Amino acid sequence: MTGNITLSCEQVGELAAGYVLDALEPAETEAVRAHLDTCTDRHDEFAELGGVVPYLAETVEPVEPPSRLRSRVVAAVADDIRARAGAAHRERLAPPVPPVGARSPARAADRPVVAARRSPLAWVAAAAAAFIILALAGATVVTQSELEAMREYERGVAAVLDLAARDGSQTAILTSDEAGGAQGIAAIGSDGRLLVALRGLSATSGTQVYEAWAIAGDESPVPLGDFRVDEHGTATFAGTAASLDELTLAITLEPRPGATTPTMPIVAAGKAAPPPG
Amino acid sequence: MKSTTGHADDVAARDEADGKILERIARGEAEALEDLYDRYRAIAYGVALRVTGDASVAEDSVQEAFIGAWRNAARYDRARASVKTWLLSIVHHRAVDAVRRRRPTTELPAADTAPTPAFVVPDVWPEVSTRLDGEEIRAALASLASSQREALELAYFGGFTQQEIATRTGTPLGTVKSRMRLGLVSLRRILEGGGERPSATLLGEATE
Repeated sequence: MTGNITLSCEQVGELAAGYVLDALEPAETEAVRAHLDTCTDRHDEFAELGGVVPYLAETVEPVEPPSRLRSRVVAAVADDIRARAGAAHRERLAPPVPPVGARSPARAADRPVVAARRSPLAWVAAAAAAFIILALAGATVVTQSELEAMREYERGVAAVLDLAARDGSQTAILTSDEAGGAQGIAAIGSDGRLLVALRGLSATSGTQVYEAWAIAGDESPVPLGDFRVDEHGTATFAGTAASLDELTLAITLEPRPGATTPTMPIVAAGKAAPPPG
Repeated sequence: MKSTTGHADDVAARDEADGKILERIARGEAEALEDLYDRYRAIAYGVALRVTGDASVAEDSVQEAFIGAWRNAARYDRARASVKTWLLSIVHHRAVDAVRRRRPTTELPAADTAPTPAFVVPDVWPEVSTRLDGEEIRAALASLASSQREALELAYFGGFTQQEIATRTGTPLGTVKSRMRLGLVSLRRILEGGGERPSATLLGEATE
C-alpha cells in the first residue's frame, strides 16, 4: 500500500521500464514519480524507454466503436460544462471555502473542492476542507500515509459533490447518534450511481467490514457493498442504489462480509433527498 | 523502397492539425473535443478493447479518457509528445486501471472500494522518430526474443504489474524487469534502424 518509500537514483533506473509501461505496483509508481519530481539527475533512461511505448499502441488494429459512445462523450462534456458553470456561479455567490495553506495536499484533478449547488452539502465541503486544515495545523509532522489518507478522503468528497451537482441526483448527510461519531456525505445519481465519503470511523480488524445499506420506506434493508477502514478513520465507497424517494442510507459494522441483515447499532445514517428548491 | 519523406510529412501535418484542435479544447470549445474524438475514436477503442477484453468496459475507458483530455487539455505540452501519444496514453492508463480494479488480487492504491480513481494524466516522453508504419512495427514486435515480447505484451496489453508477470510466468522479478527493459531497447533500435533487428552482438547484451 502507500508508505514512505524513498528510492535511490539507481533503484529508480531499475524501475524505469516498468514505469513507462505502467506496470509497477501503485506504491512504486508513486515513489518513482516523487523521485523524478525532485531529482536533479536527468534520468535519460525514461525518455529512451518511454519513447518506444507509443508504438505499442500503433500495433493495435483500430476498431470502430458503437455510435452511442460518441453521444455519451458529447453528453459528458456538456455535463462537465454545466457543472463548472454551476460551481463557478455558486462560488461567486457563497463565501469562499477557506484556502488551504502551503502544505495542502496536491489535488489529483485540477479542480478545487467547491461548495455544491445544493446548500445542504455546502457546509460539509467547508467542513471537509477545515478537517484537512486542522489536521495539518495540529500535527508537527504529517506522515506520508496520513497525507495520502487525507488526499483520498478529499478526492472522495469532491467526487460526491460532483455527482451531487448533476441533474436528478439525490444527496444524503450521514450522521451518528453519538457525539464525535462517524459522519459522511453521499450522492445518488439519476443512473443509480452511489458515492459515499465518510470519516470518524473506527478501524476494522480481522474479517470485520462496514456495510452500506439502502432502506426504502418499510422494506428490508438491502446491502449495497462493504469496505474496510484503517487507522485514519476515513473511507470512500462506490456502488449502486436505486434512485427512489424516501431512501435511507445506513452504515453498520459487520463481523464479516456477506451480511444479509444489518447488525445493530447503526454507525451512521441519513435520508436521501433531492436538493431543495 | 518506401518514400520516407511522404510518411514524415503526413505525421507532421497530422501533429499540426491536432495541436490546433487541442488549443481549441483548452479554450473550452466542446466541438473541438468532438473533432478529436472523431479522429481517434477507432484507435482509442481498439487499444481499450485489447487491454480490457470487454466491449462495455472499453467504452467506459474511452469515455473517461476523452473527458480526461477535455479537462486536462491546458496541461498538454507539445514539446513533450504528440497529441496522439498523449491521448492514447490516457486511454491506455484508463483501460489498465479498469482491468486492475476488476482483478481481485491486484493491489489497489487506496481503500478497497474507492470511487472512480482520481484521474491521473500519465507521463509521456517524445516518441522515437521512425519511418515504420503500423504493420512494420507489428513485425518489429514479432521479431523480438519471445520472452521479451511476452513481458511487454503482458505489461502493456495485459495490464499486469511486473510482480504479477513474475508470478504468472514463474520467473524471478529481476528477470522480468530485465526482459522489459531489453524488449524496449531492442524495439527502439529496430524503430530507429528502419526495420532491421540488430544482431545480438550489435546490441552488446544478452538477448535473454
